[in-house]
Order: sequence, then C-alpha cells, then structure tokens
Amino acid sequence: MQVSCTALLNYYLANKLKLTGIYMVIKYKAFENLYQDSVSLMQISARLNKIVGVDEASVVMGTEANLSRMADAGFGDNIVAKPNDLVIAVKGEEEACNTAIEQAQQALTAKPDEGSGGASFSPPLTSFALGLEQHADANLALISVPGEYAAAEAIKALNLGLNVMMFSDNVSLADELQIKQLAQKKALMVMGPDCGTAIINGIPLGFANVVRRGAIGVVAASGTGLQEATCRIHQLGGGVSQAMGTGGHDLHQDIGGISMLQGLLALAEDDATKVIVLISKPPAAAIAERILATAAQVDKPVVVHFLGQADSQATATGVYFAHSLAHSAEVAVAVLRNQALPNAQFILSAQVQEQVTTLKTQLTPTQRYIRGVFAGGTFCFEAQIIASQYGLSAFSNTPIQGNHCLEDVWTSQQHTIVDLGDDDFTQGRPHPMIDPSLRNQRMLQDARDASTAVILFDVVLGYGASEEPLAELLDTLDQIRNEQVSMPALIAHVCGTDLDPQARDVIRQALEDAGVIIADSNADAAHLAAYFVSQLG
Amino acid sequence: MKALFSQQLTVLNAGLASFADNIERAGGHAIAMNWQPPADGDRLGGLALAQLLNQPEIELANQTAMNHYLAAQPTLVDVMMAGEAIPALAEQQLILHAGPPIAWQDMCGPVQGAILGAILFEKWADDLTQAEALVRNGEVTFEPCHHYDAVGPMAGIISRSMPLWVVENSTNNNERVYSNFNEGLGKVLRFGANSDEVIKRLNWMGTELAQAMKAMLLESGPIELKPIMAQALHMGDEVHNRNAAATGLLLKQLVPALLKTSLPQAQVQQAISFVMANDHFFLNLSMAACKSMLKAAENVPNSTMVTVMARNGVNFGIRLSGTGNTWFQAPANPVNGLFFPGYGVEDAAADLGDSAITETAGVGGFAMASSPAIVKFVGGTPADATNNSRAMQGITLGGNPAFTLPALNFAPTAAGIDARKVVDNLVLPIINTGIAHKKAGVGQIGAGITTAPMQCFVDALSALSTQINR
Amino acid sequence: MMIALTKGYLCPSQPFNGKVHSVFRRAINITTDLTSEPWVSLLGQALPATPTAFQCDFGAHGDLTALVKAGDVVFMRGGVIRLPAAALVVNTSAAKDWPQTEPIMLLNQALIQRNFGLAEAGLSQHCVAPQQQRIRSAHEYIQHLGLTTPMCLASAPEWLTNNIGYGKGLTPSGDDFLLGVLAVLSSVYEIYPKAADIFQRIALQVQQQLGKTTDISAHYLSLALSRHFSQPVQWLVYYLLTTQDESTIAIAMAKNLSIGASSGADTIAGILYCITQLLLS
Repeated sequence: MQVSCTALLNYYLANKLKLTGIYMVIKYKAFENLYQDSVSLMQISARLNKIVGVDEASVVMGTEANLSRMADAGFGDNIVAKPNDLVIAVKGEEEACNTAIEQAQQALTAKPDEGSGGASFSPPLTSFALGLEQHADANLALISVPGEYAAAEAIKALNLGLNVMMFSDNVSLADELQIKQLAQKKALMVMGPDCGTAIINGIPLGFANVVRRGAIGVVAASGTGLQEATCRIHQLGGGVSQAMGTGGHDLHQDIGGISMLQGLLALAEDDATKVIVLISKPPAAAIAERILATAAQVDKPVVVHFLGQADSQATATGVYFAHSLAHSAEVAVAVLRNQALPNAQFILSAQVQEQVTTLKTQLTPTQRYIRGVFAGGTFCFEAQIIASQYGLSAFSNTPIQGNHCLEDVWTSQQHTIVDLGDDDFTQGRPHPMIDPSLRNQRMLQDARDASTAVILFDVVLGYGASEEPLAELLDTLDQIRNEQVSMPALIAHVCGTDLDPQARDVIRQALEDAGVIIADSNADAAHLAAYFVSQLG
Repeated sequence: MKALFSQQLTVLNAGLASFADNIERAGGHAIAMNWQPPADGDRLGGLALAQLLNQPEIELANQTAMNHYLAAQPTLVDVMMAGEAIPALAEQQLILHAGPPIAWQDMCGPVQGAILGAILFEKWADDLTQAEALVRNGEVTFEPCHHYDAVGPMAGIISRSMPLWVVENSTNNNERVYSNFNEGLGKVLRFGANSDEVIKRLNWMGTELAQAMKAMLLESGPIELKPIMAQALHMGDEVHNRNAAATGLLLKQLVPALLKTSLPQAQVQQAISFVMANDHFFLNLSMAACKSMLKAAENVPNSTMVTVMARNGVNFGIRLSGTGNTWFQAPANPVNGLFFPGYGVEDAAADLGDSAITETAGVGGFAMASSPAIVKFVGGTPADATNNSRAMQGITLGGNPAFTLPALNFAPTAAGIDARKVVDNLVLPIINTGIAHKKAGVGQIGAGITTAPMQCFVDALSALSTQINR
Repeated sequence: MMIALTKGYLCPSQPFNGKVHSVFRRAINITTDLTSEPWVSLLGQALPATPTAFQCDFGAHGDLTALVKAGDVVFMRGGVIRLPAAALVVNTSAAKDWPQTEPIMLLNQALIQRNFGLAEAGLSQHCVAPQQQRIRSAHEYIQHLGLTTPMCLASAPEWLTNNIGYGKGLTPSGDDFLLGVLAVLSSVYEIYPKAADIFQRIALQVQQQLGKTTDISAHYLSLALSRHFSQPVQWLVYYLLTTQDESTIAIAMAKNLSIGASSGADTIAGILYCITQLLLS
C-alpha cells in the first residue's frame, strides 16, 4: 500500500471532524503467480470501474508492456511486478480504492463451486464430519451401528462437539469409560452404550414413548425402567422435561456412574426441570453413596429408585426413595404438586381379593406356578423382586440374588420369570419388543404346561416397538383358550401412553376383552400375580 | 448440555434408519446418514482416526503444511547429470526407481527390465545376462526416487548418467527437487524396454538433449512452472495423463530460447523435433513441480496431510507430512480403464510410477473436470469428470486458487489430501494413470483411472496416533 | 476452514446456536444461546483483541459484508464455528489466549506524570490534520468532541454517563471516552478504594442507560462494567501506570490510535482525563 497508516488515520479524523479533505490516491496490489484468463480479467476490471469513487481501474498481468501502458495511463511508474504476477491498480478516492482492491481480491481467490448447470453434487453422508458440514445445526449423534465400531463413532461425535446417544451395545467397559471421560471433559452428554431409550426436548429417541412435556426430569440406567417411569408420569397427568438413559453399565464400579451424575447435574441446572427422578438397578455401595450425596446437594427434589432397595430411608432433605418404577413416577408427580406422598404398598382391596378368589376357582390343583414372560429386562427384574416379597423363589435366565438359573432357558421350571430380550434369546433374532412372536410362543408353551397358574407379561408400546403388538397376540390368546380346559390366569401390563403410535387404550381394551387382567403398572401386575400364586398354597 | 435443552434437536443418525424415521414422525429433525464402517472395517484403525478428529494441534499443523504447499513457487532452474545432482548416484552403483522401496525379486517386469536397461546404459555390464548377474550378486542397490527428492513416471528409473530437471522453490529456501526427462512413447525405458534403440536414445538424451536444455535455460532464465500448469488446466490438460497443452506452452518458451543458443543447428532441430513429437514432454516437469510444492509441506509434526503417493508396480505407498519419511504401503488397486487393441486386463502390470504426485498436489485425477478427454478412457462422461473433481473436495484440506477448473465455474482444484477424511468419508483419492504391460518392454497398453488403497491411509493414521500418544 | 489465531478469555468453548448480530468489513458479531457467553465476535487480525472475540485472518474473504448478513444462523460445535449461508468455517480450538495484564500493586506519581505527558503529546500529534485547529491537550480534545465532564470526577462521576450515545460512529465518542475512564478506575480498583467507589457509582448509572447507545457499544460498556477491556486498552492503561520505557508507551499509543475512525483517540482521552482527575490532582 502506498499510503501510510498515519495519513489514513488523519484522513479519517479529518472526516470525523467534518473538515472534509478528499485525496486522490493510487493503489495497487500484485498477486504473485496468479494466472487468470483475459476474459475474467476484463470482467473484474469492468466491475471495479463501476465502483463509485473509483476513477479508473486496471487488472492486468504484470508484463513490461502492461506496466508501461499503465504508467502512460497515469498509474505511475513505481508498480513492481513480474510478468506472471497479476496486478490490480486503482485510482480514485482512498475508501473506494480500498473497496476495489478488496473486491478484486475476492473475485480472484476461491470461488464457491456453483457447478455449471446440472444437479448439484452432494456426497453421501458417510461420516459425522460430513454430516456436520451439511447440517451445521446438528447437536446429537444417535449411534446404532454394530458394537465393534460404536466406540469410534462416539469418540468422533464427541470430538466434533455432538452430544451422543449410543443405542449400540457390546462396547467394552474400557471403551465406555474412555468415551464418558471424553464427554465429561467436553461437557457433552453421552447416553449409553446400550441406551435403548431417551426423550430429549420432547423428541423420543430409540425405543421411547410419546410423553407430554413437563417439569419432571428422569435419568435412568435402565431402558424399560425409563419407559415405565415416563409413561406413568404421563398417565398421572404430569410431563417430562428430559429423560436420559445412561446405559446399563454406567453404575458399574469401573464407570462410577459418570453419566448419571452428569445427567443429574444437567437437570439440576435446567430451568424447565422442577423434580428429578433417578432409576437404576442396585449399584455398588460406593457409587450409590456418591449419587445420593450429589442428589442431596441439588436444590431440587430428587426421587431415587434403586430397584430392590426399597427399604432405604431418605437421609437428606429433598431426596425421596421410591419402591417401584411406577412408584418413582407417582412420588415425583406428588412432590411436584405438593401433594401427600403416594402409598408404596400394593393395596389388597376388596376388589382384588374378589378377583383372586374368582381366579382360584378356575384352576386345577396342579396349577401352582407363576410364569413371567417379559420383553422388558427391567420389568423381569422388578417382577422377580416383587415375587420374592411373596416368598416365591423363581428360576430365570437373568436371576436376581436369591433366585436360580434355569437349567434350560427354553423350558420353564416351577416359578419361572424370563427376560426374552436378553442375549440368550435374541442371538440372530429381533428383540421381542420389535417382533413379539417369541414371547407369544413362550406364552403358548407355558399355557400348555399343566403346572402354570398364571402367565404374567408385558406389552411395550412406543416408537421402535412393534407397530401392531396385538395381531399375533390375540391369536395366541385364542389358541390358548381353545386348547386349554382350565386356562391359567393372564395378567399383563401395557407400558405406553395414549399418544403413542399404538394407542394404549385400544390395546388395553382388546386384551381385557380377550380375558387378560390389565394392571396399571408392572409392579401392580407382579403384585397381583404373586399374591394370587401365594394364595394357592 | 444446558444449551442443548434449549435448542431444537437435530439428530445425525448412524445405524438403524428407522430411528431417524421415527424422530421425523414424532416431529423432530433427523438426518439418516449413509453410515459405513470407516477404515473399511478396520476396528483399531477406526479408533485411531476417531482420536485424531478435530484436534487443535492437527488442525494447526495441517494449516501450516497446506500454507507451505500453497505458497510454493516451483521454478525450473537447471539441467544436471543425476550423478552430479544426487551424489549418492555417483558414489555407488545405485539406481532409483518409482514408488516405495522394493527388493529386486519382488519387482514387476517393467521395473526389472528398466533397471537392466539402466545398467547397460551405464555400461556396468555388456549384456542383459551380465546385468542380471550383477543384480543377483548384490552389486547394484536400489532405492526409491522419493528418497532423494526425485520423481519419475512409470518405472521411474534414474541412474547417474541420466539428465535431471532441477526445480527450485523460492519460498522454501530454494530447496531442490528433480525429475528425469520424458523419453516419449513406444519402446521406452520407463515401460521396461531395454533394446539398443532405447539405450541409444538415452545416450542422446544424456548428452545432446541435456546440453540443449541446459543452454536453453541459460537463455530463458528460470521458468516458473505453476503458471504453465494453471494455463494448461484451462486448455484441456489435467497435467498428468494429458500434457498436450502444457507441452505446447513450454515449447513457446523453449523454442525462442533454444534458437538464441550457440548450439549447432542440427542439435537444436533434433531437440525441438523430439519435444514436438512427445505430448507428454511436460509430464516430468509437472511431476517435479508437484513434488516441489509437496516437499514444502513435508515434516510438519502432527499433520495428516498426504505428501507422497507413489507406486512401484506391486505396492502403492504414501507418506504423511506428520510421519516424515515412513512409507505406508498396500497392494495397488486395479485400474479401471481401456486397453489398446489386442491387450486386456490379464496383460496389465499393477499400477506403477511416481506420477501420482500430481494427484497428491491437486491436479491429475483431482483436476479431471478440466480434461473431459481423459474420462473417455473409462467410458465416462464429462459429468463424471466434474463429479470426480468435486468428490475430491470431500477429502482435501482446501483448494488451490492457483489451479482453477473452468467446468466448476473456476473453483480451485481440491488439494491437500487429509488422510483422516479419506478414512472417515470412505472416499479414495482418484488417480489418472497409464497402464503398462506386465512384461518388460512391451510398453503402454492402455490408460484409465484407479484409486489409492484405503489400507495405506488407515496405517498412516494409526502410526500418527501412536506417535502423538507417545 | 480458517483457524482462529487468538481468543479472548470470555469466548465460549461450549457448543452454541446463534445468529449474526451485525457484520462489518472485517468483523462479525454473533449472539449466542449461551447464558454465560451471550456474545462473541470474529474479528480480523488488524482489529483489537477483545475478551469476547476470536481473531482470524479474513484475508481471502474480502469484504465480509458481501458474504454474511445480519440474522444469518451460526452454529458452534466442537470449537468449530460455522456460518452455513456464507460457507464460512472457523476452527477456534487452536486459538491462543492473548496475554492479560497483571494487577497493579504500586502507584508512582512521578512516573505517571511523565507517562501522562508522553501520551498527551502523542494524542496532540495524532490530531494534527490539514485545516484543523491545533489540539494541544487531552482537555482540548475532550472539548473538541463536545463531551461534558464534571469539574471534579470524585464528586459527580455520574455526570459522565450523560455522554453515552453521544458522538459519531459505531461506538459513539462519549461511550469510548467512558470506556477509557472505566479502564483506569478498574486498573486501580483493588489498591485505591476511591477508584472502586467512583467505578461503582458510574456503573450503576451506565447500567440504566445502556439502551441509549448502539448494541455493539452497549456490549463493550457492559463488559467494562464487569471490568473487561480490550487488549490495547488494558495494556495502555497498565503501561501508563507502570512502565519506565518511553517506546513502550509510544507503541501502545499507536495501537490504540489505530482503532476505528476515532474510537482509539476517544478512549485515550477518557484514560488521560481519569488519570488527571484521580491520580495526578
């Protein structure tokens, strides 16, 4: 630039002081080795000449001839350039000259690729990096790729600044820890690995139900646990601000509940959340302690449910212990509404007593056992806990402490409560929530067993779950009724909401019509079934 | 996380597409990605890549490497005898070849043939049998051209008595790089031919032609190469497989200067007609220019920018700026191309030559949009050519404004291959290439398009990741 | 992709969604959805570094106003700021923090007196322009700007806020002047209780009057109320109160004088005014 900085400032100052003094200046810029065809050069020069305040502009290659021609045209003879340099020279008002040189520079350097007609080219989105290039607003990566690749995808998403939900499982604990520590460092959210469900900003992710928005935030280390709690909140007229899954291993000793703590703190900071619910299978004592200590520090009410640890008493103000998945929802809604806390115990109402008496009369003496057939893992777990409270020691493929492993997972023995969503059953087969035929077969099989007194089962609705959960199920129930002289009792719970794609009311009504006793929650269903069986002696 | 709760949720979905559908049905916004296992399913390679993504020290290093590459001004300054330019060639019986290192017994036919030819040319042996015995006795050693900042097309053979182009980069301490002279088509050393005719031509090139070019340069002064390449890109060349325009542009500078020399007229005439007869004459200069630009980008710690891609007729090798002189190799991918009448895929040698340095520098296959003629080799359309050039924008650090593509509205060519993007986006660098007969001396039997093999990039990233974590 | 070179200490590192608030030839101001960092700027290298700005080399992009429009959406993910409409991508993760001054522990009146003289001379010299009456002191410059100042700063500091929004430019002269005053008060806040008191009295008033000026100027004023100042202002005040080296003062003055059309000079006037009133009377 030919004009010194001070002169420039003085010019501005003069202008500001309204003492206008406009100088005619000459400016040039040489771009080393920038080849452009002459048509482009002419176009640029035409454009520069149109700028108000520019007297004359010249854009040429810096050959000797061009330079001397420019000197003749009054651009001075002190332009230094080599023949392969592209020279822009402008005469006129200072400001206009600056603008002109800037515009020329812009025109000469990188242009957006607009293509010359024809469809625009967009590469397939094979990576999160490309995804963000085309969708800069993306803020969450939902990963359901095969487990062996899931860790790398999660790390990539976090490095790119995306929050992460990992539906994928079969990720090692070491990888999970690394992912969660990275997320912690970057203050991003990681749900999973093995996180089946979440509701973020009202949007159901993975296997999730359509739930009213509201003031209760949920963090759960259990997929069906989260679904049960959020659905129950909805059924009670409440709503959910955010529901985050942590994945089943988060409260493992090696991981230390990183995601649950992070979720808890995020909800604590979230203005829309007034009450927080935490759900998990029983964690190691040290981890439980850390979570409870953090919960006590949060200045919002926190409802905690560690499955099977209902005897814990609230030790800190603002921390409430719930006794079942549904109960945690009930407590949360009551706390939010400032109402008395709901009863934790299953109420043996006169109606229930009568129901049980009627059911008893329909059984033969050989029918003595409970048969739980579950698609939801946490429902199976909760049912086992409740059955044990009635003194029923059960066999399972996923036995709780005190219960026994099935000798053959495909065959029930005595009291049996199975999780058909476990790896034992899903190798090479869709999950029973997606395709319930395995569950229906097992029900038929148990119904044919003369020792079955009650079949307890779940129907899970929502996005991701079977769109038509009834079709085959009703056929199965018909078949059972046609085959069996003395049918076992059928008790079920439908986890879902009236807003789900499969309307809950319709499903419940159809099942009731088919002779199934429908409970309001998984816990209620398990209580009814277990009490009934315990009365058989 | 707090911010997320107040934002509209936009989900990038990798895996089960139904999850994205459900989010859309529920009123959310989800983009179903076309996810594929990165690194062609190499789990650990994929993990290494993940750790290297969006890392400040890498972004900064890549910017540095890219700036060095962009700033380079390769200039043809001299012609020297190889033994003089690269002293190691004079000190020992050393022969340079294209691509990554390879042992004699593993070399493909054309490279072996060319090496034997070079031994005859250097008079280290009297005939082919003697020459081969010399090699088998371990009296001749081999190294890649790249180890001496040199490049050569196809077999890429350089021995001490061959003339080299000397290209300097004024923005990089006048560091020098070299390439050999192009012999033309037909029976030529670079395709493994080693008959008397070939050796005779080499002799003439090493003496009369070399003298003429050296004298010419004294008259013309240093010749900047980037402007010639840039102009040729606007004239239908991609300066790898098509150099007709660039050779013509070079001739415009070469002929007047040559006429000013005091060389005998016959020598001048022969030199001019030799260049005139060979549309590929500029190729070796294009390669040297590319090598010069990329040499400037070498050895930037942590950089994932690719600085070398080269093939030895068996393996494809690459180097990254951040991993210095280490080669990462994998078997070369097959060439998708057209064969001259009478030849087929069974006659073809594997991809060969240092000329992929042009693609590494953002021209050649990366600038295919400027050379629709080249697409015909693979039965493609001009639209394929432009799409190829656009696809390369997905794996590069940026563009090179010095090289623009008319067909893409004068967009800069994609340049500065980022190994991370190759592995993550599963897009392989496209290379325009000639096809050599697998038997020495038959020559070129076709041309087409190939790609760099994925495994090179995966291994390079794994090595860089180990290096950074150390 | 561009790499941001420096980052202010109040710049966001968390992902955000935002909008372009305003755009200039070499600067983009962005409002974000973060409560802790509601504002961030992308500034060309030549513009002064501020606590809420990333500095970038916009060289290749020409005039940013031709590329970016107010209201354009902005997203930051993983430290990368993207303006999709302008195809502008800035990676901020490698940006370096610019150095901040240390707290001032001691005041040496003789030294300050001398440095004041140097700065005042620099300001006068800067104001030499064709056909212009000569400006010989900071006082004359203030008069020339038409700003109102109290006779005694300590007795009626609130007066200064009458100047908010007064004067030409994106950041009106009155605001720039006030920034200079606040910068001096802030620099001695801990060691000089009177300064803290005056600062608080001004701050109370400024808060209520932010609506009287432009958004951008209001942003810089509210930063000042939290005692955050741009790199050149922060360092000029620091040097005026501490350095023995004349050339250091000269360089710091030149940096400030080159800011905006007259913003730099206006701020210097505020700095000199406050030094006279507070430390030299």
